[in-house]
Amino acid sequence: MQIELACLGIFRELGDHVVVDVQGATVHDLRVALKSHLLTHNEAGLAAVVERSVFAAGDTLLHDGDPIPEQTLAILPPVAGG
Amino acid sequence: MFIEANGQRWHCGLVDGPCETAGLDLQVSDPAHGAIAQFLGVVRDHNDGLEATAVDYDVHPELALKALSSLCDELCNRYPVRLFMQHSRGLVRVGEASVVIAASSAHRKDALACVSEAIDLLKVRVPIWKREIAPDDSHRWLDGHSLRQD
Repeated sequence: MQIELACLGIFRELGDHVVVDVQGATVHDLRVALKSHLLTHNEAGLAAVVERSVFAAGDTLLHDGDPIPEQTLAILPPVAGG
Repeated sequence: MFIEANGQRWHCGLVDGPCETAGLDLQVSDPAHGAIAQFLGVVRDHNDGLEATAVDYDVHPELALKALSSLCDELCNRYPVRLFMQHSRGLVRVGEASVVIAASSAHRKDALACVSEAIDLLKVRVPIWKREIAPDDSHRWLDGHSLRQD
């Protein structure tokens, strides 16, 4: 299935959104698919950041074992406020 | 503020552009409190040996407000304070404030400790990202703290 992710922080270098083909139904599967998508598009630096990032649905942070929810998702890289 | 939340003893939110620093003490004033501590986080002109002219803050508004509210709740349960926290979204130039925090308490130790802990926790918990702008208008995203827990 195709999943559209809102990009935040350094992932905005890809644009405001990125669409990923996901084989599987969990957030872990989405993580694997996003890393693969970025490596295919010569974005090895961003692919490395995916491992330290979290996915969010609305105002809820998702865990890797969670099913992929049917709503707009976002990818959140490591935070750096202040 | 473009988004904000309140608790019994706290108020937090996000603002477009730099934070207003004047009158910060009024946000937490209380006739029973004899101490007010304030922290202003200000954009500086260098970082890691590189010059900077501004920082462009990216924010996930819903999650950031949720995290700020949770942080205020937690701190007000730990300290007998009134607490105010505000963070910027968008462009903040050198010398302007990107985050302001104020806490009041009956005596100084609680207010000082609360403000110190508030900025430490904000930096590692709230979904905000820094895009640092150089004098030649090039930019770089600054690394931070992972929110991942699994």
